[in-house]
Amino acid sequence: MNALELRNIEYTYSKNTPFENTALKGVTVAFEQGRVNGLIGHTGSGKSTLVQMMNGLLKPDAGEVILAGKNIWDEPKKIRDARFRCGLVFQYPEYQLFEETCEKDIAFGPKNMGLDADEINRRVFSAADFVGLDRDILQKSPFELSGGQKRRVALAGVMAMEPEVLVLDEPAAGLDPIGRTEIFGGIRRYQRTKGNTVIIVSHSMEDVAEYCDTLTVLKNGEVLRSGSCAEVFAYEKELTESGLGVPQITRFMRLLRERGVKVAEDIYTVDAAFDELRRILDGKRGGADA
Amino acid sequence: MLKDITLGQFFPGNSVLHRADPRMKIILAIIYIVFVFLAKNSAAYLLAVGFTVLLVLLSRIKLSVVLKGLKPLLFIMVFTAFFNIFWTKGETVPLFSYGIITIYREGLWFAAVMIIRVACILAGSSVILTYTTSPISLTDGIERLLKPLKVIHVPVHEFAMMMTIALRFIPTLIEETDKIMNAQKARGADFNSGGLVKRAKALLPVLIPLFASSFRRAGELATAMECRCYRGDNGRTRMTKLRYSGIDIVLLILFAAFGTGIILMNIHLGFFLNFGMVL
Amino acid sequence: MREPFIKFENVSYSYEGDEEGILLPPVLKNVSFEIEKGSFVAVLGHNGSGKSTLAKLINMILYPTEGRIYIDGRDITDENMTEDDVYDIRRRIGMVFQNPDNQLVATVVEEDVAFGPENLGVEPSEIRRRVDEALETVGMSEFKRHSPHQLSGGQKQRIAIAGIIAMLPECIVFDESTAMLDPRGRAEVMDTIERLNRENGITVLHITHNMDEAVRADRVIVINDGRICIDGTPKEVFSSVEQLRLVGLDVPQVTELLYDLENCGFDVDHTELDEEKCADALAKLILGR
Repeated sequence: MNALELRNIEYTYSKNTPFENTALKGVTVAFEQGRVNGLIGHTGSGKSTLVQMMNGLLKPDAGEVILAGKNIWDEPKKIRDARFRCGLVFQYPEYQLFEETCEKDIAFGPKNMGLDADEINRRVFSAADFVGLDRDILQKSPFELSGGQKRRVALAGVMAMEPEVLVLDEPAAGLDPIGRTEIFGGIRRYQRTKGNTVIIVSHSMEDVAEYCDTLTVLKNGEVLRSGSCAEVFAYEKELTESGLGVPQITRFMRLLRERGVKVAEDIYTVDAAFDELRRILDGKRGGADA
Repeated sequence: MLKDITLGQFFPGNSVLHRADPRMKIILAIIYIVFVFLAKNSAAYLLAVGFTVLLVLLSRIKLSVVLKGLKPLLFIMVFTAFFNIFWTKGETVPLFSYGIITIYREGLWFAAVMIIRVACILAGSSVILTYTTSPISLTDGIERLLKPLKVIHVPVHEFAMMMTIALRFIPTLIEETDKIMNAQKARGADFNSGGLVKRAKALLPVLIPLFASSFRRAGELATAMECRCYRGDNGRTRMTKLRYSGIDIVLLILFAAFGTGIILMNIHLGFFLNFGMVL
Repeated sequence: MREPFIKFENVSYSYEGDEEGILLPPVLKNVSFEIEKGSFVAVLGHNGSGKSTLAKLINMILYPTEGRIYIDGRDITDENMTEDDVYDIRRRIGMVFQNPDNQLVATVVEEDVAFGPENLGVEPSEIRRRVDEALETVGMSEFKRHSPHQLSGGQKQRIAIAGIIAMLPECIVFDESTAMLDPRGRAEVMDTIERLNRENGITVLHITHNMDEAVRADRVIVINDGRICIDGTPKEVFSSVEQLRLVGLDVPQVTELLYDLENCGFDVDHTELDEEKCADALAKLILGR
């Protein structure tokens, strides 16, 4: 079952002007329910445009956006529902915070949904828990917080709408390793607890390799590759040519294979590489002992 | 989308008008506007229209582009022309009369004059200044033209620097507004329904982050400028030195001729060539 | 030994709190180090470690609460520093910041590059020459008549660098200049930085939290909680895997893998940073030849 499906999406900016710019040329992609999906492509590949199709911020020139089996543009008047059901976290979301306190800011989405006070409260606290924000931080002004904390408040603001599909555009951009781990940890907790679908847009191959189940690669407004991480990373040359590359560890495994070491082809995290090499080295050690 | 608004309206090129000194162009634009206003009779107006067409040709900007630039003001022109036609009382016999509607020849004349004047001034000053001068050299021109005012402590340099920075950041801020609006829409903000008060309130989630980020930008920019040794006008030189060239002199003569032409038409030829009144 | 270009002597810095005169806990604590002329030093640390404060102290945007800072032998914490002296230091040590948008002043690329030399009162013809040369160095000559907002992040950052080079600095401090860029922009900027150091002999201080970039430096200084905790060649620094993890920094993936294998008693060397060499050694170990 697909939580979100985009079919033959086409989109052109500034149509019929000298600045005309075709961003998407017939993109078809499906995101399976309950999984973490990666969407990669470098700047200008059309990924930011595609993301704004998902919750109806942009209307495709042609094609369909199917959210839980229904085209979101069937009833254009109810497009706001699509925004609540498919929550979108933009790049550098901390720049959208505006309320006096973090708590109020997180409540902005749920309030717009027209929920009652108790439900809003429940959601604010549960979202704060997902991203690991303490209760005393909730009473502070978002403008007093550190960069990483602000980012988590903004993320909680979208999570509090409890969307079926959570879309994040470069959630870890500009953060240091600690901040990155905190953000991805929060996303993972949300996804595991709610069983909801997550779509992560990124150009960090290391991050998508670690956190995503499937990958879709966009290039020049078209889908270049789509599949599991292992399937996509198999096309190392193509990805490198597109300015994306593969995780360092995947490249390293290829170097080993080229030198005659028989390592499995589907390795793209350090943990997996460690297990594989340990198996080989242990086997060799055992063989030598025998 | 907000991003689509074109700003500055500058069309890069290499025509005579593009190459002219911005200071000269500011002066020429003023001369031009003054004389178009001074035109009194149809011959003078004919000359003004002819001269404007000449300017458009000199700028090498397509006439269609210039006409398109007039479009936003078309409504106002038609509107005022309409009032002129129906509300001007003439001394002669009405041309047309039906019920309360009476149209005099003077009404038609004023309406035509109105439209010609506005169209000429808009088209002319656009090709002299905004279409052919980049915002930065325009600011530069203003700064250098007003330099003498520094003696009486008018902060000319600071004003020009503010203009430059504003021009530099307008596209950035528009893009940012777009982004914040989208981010708030993604959280269900609704900017398009409800009464005036509700709509104004709905803009708060956009305005507050926008102000916050503008302050942050301003702070960072100030630091960056200090790091690049900016200390106001003190001992500052400029890469491009503005120098009047032959083109400027030729243009000045051309505009002087135009001004003289208008005055001549007003005084002498007016008696013989007053088409409007003959009509 | 050569005279160091930058020298910190027991420098501490505390920001002022909301109430006047009340200092917040120090962000830099008794820091001392020296940086040689012509070197490429990466300063690594997570957000809030004090690494950006360090940059601002060098450029005299901030003044240390305690301690002394010397630039090319001159004590810049000296009270006799005149305004001209301050601007001289700022000319000699250029700064490139994080957000490419917030450091470009003009609406045309070449006008922006000219901004610095114009402020210094350089002759117009000389400014022209410097601007062309600076744009050439960063590979942006063809964009000189463009408006900054038409450029990508990486391109804008290169323009910012050109604006600094045109002031003919001896040292450039990059304050997280790659943090907001995509991989392509990051590569463009890193290549430019490396070239400036190797070919133009400019001393580079590159502040970052990205270890892949730090690997390219001659020397890496790791800052944690306002103190220098590791200082050495990239090889030395990245072999301190445990210590880096402790201060919340990553190590390159291959280093991490080899370190873990080494800890299991296998005969590999995690201090090697070159992927090819690591692969050679590991293949040799496994295949036994």
